[in-house]
Amino acid sequence: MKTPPLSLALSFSLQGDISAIVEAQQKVGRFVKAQLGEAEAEAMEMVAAELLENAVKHGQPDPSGIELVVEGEARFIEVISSVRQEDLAPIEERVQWLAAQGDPQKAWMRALSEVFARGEFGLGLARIASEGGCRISLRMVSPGRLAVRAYRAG
Amino acid sequence: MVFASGLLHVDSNEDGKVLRQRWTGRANELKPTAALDGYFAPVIERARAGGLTIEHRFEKLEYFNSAFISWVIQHLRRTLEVEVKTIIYFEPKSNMHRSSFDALRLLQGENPWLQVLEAHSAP
Repeated sequence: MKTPPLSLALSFSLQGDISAIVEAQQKVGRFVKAQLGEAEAEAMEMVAAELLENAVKHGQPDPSGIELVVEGEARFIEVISSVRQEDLAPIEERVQWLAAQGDPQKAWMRALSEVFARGEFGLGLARIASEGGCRISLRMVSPGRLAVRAYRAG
Repeated sequence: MVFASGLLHVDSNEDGKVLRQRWTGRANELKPTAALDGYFAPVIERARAGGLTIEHRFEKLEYFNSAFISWVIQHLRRTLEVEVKTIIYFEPKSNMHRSSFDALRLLQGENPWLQVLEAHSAP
């Protein structure tokens, strides 16, 4: 059976500055609101912003910029960007850590406790999983470029 | 006193024994720590020296990123270290606020100087 083609309704590239992230967040919000309503739009805006901020935090200058894709029915948001080699393993470990926690809410609480205990612990992916209700997957699309996909669970 | 950075504003005022911080706008800096710590260090010191309470009114905050949530938790560590009572108010109707600020109640167990309250219970 053939896999139906993805309907990519929102797709654009941006550079990693805050104003570009805010603009991207608003575009995602408008798009998701039209598809799914206000509450989902707020959550998916947050998901888009956290993915983009991670891309900036772990990325390096790249003429291809950062690509953001929202699937036609807003089932997932994907951000593709260059990633520093030394940051790749920690990102993979964090995704595995999240999966190992099972319940995203418990993972979120544990992540907050880690910040309190250690002073530092990346919260973005745990927030996407709990508040955003998304599962997260990673794949390399080309050498040095990582796609992080957050897809709505359920 | 006022803190303004990008889309984020904090209006600070002293009201009796309370140092009230009214947060508005969007907290979306990728690295907010240096600027916010610089602004709040004297606030914490004033509270410690005067036995005052720091009250953070977050309920009008439209958006905040996870870097900001990290800063809030680190700020709470600092107020705990110097035994300054700190109260957080959040908007209970917002899923975003509940998810992050309500969750901070879990820190109350380790931090007896912290209170997390829904905004409608504010005086």
